[in-house]
Amino acid sequence: MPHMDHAQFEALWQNVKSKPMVQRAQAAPIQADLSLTGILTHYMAMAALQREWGKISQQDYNDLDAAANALKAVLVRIKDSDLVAEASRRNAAVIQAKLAKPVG
Amino acid sequence: MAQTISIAQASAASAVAADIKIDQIVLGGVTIGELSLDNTTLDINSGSASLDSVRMVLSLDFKFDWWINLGFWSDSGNSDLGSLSFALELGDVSIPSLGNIPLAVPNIALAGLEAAFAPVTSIDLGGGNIAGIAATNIALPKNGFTLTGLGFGAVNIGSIDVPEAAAAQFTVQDFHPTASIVMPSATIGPVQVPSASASDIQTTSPVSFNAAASQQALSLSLGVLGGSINVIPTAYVSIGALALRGVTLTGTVAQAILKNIGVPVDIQGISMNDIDIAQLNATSITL
Repeated sequence: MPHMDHAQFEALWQNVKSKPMVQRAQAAPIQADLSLTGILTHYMAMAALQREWGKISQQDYNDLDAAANALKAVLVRIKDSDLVAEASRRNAAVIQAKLAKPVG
Repeated sequence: MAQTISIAQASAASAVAADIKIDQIVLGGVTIGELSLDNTTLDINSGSASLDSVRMVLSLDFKFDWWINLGFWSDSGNSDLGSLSFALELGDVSIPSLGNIPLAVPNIALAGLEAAFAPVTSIDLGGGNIAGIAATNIALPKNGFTLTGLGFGAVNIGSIDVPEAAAAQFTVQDFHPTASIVMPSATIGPVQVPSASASDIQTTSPVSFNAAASQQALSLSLGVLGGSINVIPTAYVSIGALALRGVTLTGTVAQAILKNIGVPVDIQGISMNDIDIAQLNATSITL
């Protein structure tokens, strides 16, 4: 915390003496792929670690990977990410109406 | 029959006196080359103090630390939530008593002290002016001399040197040495500085400073996600003037050392009795 001299204090005082000074948040949105495709991708990465640690067999991992890929093929056809994004926007509007504050 | 010669005016190279009396030694203005004070402690007692035109800007900085843990996926981070600053005008703030403020003072002048001076040795006065010299009843030589088979009606001698002579009394009216007597050092102490009051003390320019309080946090955990909101308060303070009223000062000096003390000397009324003069030069002697 640098020392503030009298001139700097006067400048700050002029800014806040009539009303509080607010500096807006500079937070970046949390990026998370919550589509089923994204969730399956994270899930298979976790399963690969479990296979390396011996928690699940190679055969079980192979069966799981084949099923996930089959499901992902369907999700691509129905444009899973767009469905989730549309649902997210609708939910945000409902919550915003409930809280009367910006959401999402 | 032993004879002596009376001399009205004479000068001598050296003399020894059995008794020397000095009426008065006048000391001039004393000069002190260096005064050092050891272990000086001073306390300022302020009756009251006030901080005039105190203003404060309180700023709150918010940070948000968050985490998400879904098992197969997790993430965490932190975000700057901005800040909120607002003004607080406190006006004049009165402080009833400040108590004691210890101070170190490099120099202090004190009067009416008794000093213990070190012995003065090897005094060299560097010559001087002697006024009003008078010698009475000079007899030379002091043991007398004898003349046989020689008679004079009247004799004038232009100059004579006599190895020994005696005088009944020798006086000097005023002796003013050229140089001052230098005393090596003197020590005073301990000295109790008397209580003194001072006029009100007030700063001449505003004082500004700032301070940050420790960070405070509100934590929340919802199982799969959570976080904490951190607040960092910072106070920016400006004081128009700081005034101390009813100030009194007390203190002690453990030891004061005076070095290279110079004293101009004027010695008046010197008289010596029973003087033996080793080498006497006289002119215009009449027998």
